[in-house]
Amino acid sequence: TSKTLSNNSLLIQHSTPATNIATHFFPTHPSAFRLRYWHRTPFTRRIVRHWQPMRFQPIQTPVKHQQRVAAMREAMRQAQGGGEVFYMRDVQDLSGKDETLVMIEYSEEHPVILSQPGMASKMKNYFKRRQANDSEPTFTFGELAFSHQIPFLGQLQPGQSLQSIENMLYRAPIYLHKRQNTDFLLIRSMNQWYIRPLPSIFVAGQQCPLYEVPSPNSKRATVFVRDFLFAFIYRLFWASDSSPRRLKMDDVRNAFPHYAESNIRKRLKMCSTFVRQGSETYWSLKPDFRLPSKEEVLSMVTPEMCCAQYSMMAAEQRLKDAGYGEKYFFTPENDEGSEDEVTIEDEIKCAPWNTTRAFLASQREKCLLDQTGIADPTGCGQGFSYVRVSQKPHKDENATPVPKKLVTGTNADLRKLPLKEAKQICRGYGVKEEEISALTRWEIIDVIRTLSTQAAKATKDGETVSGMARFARGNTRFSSADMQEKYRKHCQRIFDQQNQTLANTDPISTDDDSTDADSDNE
Amino acid sequence: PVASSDDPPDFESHIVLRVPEDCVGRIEKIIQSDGKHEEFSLNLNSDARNSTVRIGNQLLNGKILDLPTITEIHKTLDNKSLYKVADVSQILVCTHDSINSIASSSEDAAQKAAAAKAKQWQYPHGLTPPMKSARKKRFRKTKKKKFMDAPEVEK
Repeated sequence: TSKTLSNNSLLIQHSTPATNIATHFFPTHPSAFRLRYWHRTPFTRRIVRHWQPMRFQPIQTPVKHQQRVAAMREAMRQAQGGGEVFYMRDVQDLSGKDETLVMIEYSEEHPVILSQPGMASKMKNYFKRRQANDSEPTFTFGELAFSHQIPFLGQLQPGQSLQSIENMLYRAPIYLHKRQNTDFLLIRSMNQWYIRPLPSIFVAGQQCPLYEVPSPNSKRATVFVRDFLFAFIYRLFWASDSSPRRLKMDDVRNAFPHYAESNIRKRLKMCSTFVRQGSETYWSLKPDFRLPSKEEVLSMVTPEMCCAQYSMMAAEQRLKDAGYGEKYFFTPENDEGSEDEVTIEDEIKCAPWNTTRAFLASQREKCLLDQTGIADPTGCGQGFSYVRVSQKPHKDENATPVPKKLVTGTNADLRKLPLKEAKQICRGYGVKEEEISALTRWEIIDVIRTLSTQAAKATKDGETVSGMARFARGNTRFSSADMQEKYRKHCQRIFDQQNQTLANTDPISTDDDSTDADSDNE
Repeated sequence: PVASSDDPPDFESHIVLRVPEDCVGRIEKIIQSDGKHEEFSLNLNSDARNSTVRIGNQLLNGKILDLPTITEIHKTLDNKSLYKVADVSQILVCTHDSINSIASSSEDAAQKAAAAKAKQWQYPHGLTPPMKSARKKRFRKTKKKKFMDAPEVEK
């Protein structure tokens, strides 16, 4: 499984505003308020301010808008001589008022990482054939991806299919649901209200992150902050049509008000000179400074880097709100007596920089993932816990040391075992004659090794190793294989459980159907 | 022009509207008739929570509640590539009931009032059936916040 996970052959083309890190969609300094409600921006008073109280605003249908857009797109297509046209060029092209919409509800309270508006994803439909001529299932959305192995922590049964949303940040299984007929989609666009039928809705399972979130104060995070400012400055120069190119200090300061002006000035001095012309002041690009090309600026800060940084900042804000601060380093709080059942240490294990790193390391086969469920986002054993644990079986301190009972003497040298004798040993283990004759010499040796090891393990401590068990190999090596097998089964079980729960279209029956949420967690 | 960068995404915001069963047909007609069928409008209170929806001559009381989950809206032109449009995190639930549904009905209302005040805008369920009672059943218990939520502090 892990091998296929790393070949991410997705071709993702974001909308132009996303590629350009438009400030519309990529805030330059999200406030604490905004980070607390990251991807959950409420209708604040600020938005409502535009309305006069007690005045009804009409709710319109976007039909006229849709007709206008359709005509415009057709004209664009004609102008380009037909064929494939890229339509996602402008912020306005990303309106939800036109074209088909799809909704994806995340089952995790805090998905590890999410896209910003304007970013692209693909929908893929995995299907495992029963036999070669199996008929393909049909889906309204997504493209069919045939593969022997799917890039998830569990595998499909023959005949089973699974849909998935994939981009450069993550991959997550999705499950289509019937929408409630009482639900509609209300869109506030340019201070007007629009209504549309509720789009097709999917629920997404736990994300498999493909992009590492940086730790707070890490080198990666600091370099990002620096490049983000530089890229912003270079873009302003590129946007200038004066010669030499120029920018206004205020444009930078408005976007980065948390920086001291002296700090910004220091950066500007590296590439430009301050000019005062009458009452007007601006920074003019130095003639000897080579302004990085637009492509270079694009690669300095990608939409993915921004999302990773935002994920880190939002999680850092949550940790701060939970009481994790500098003080914590010196006086670890005493959680005893507190009714809080979660420790801050566990919260840190669940932070996205730790979970993404653990998951990616497990994909590279550097570690296994925790099976106790510390970081399981469902809290009820239905999710994976992205916490790294060693691949080597840990020593159980209480267990008595297992006597080394496996011999690798000369008489047990499998390399020197004649084929005739090897076949005889196989017969001794009850392997059928026709199976034996179908095997090559080395396959036979492999059978002997496997069966001998099983036999050796089955013997109780103290019993002398007799007979064929002398061909058993490696004590720890096999318990490590056992561990891998146990791990694989654990992953498959959670994978199956998630598929079953999230595909289930019956609402989970609850004892109390009331809407009170008294005992929920914060 | 560079907008003040911490403005909420002013481009578009999306929210789910849930209406009583008996209003569904009327709204579907409005959508099909391009709004010419009957008057359909919304009045949002300055608290950004309470609201009124008018369908023809009928008035519905609505509340904007916070969903437990994050739902992405994507648009697609080919049913394969998705472009993210927005996040949905709130639902406007409309009822025929009168507004004061949280009013004190029991004796110990006083003690519960504070807790209820904070919780009254939380919707317990997600949008899809498996996300029913998501806060209670689906989310890992997290460390209790020391910081008290004050969503309206934003100017």
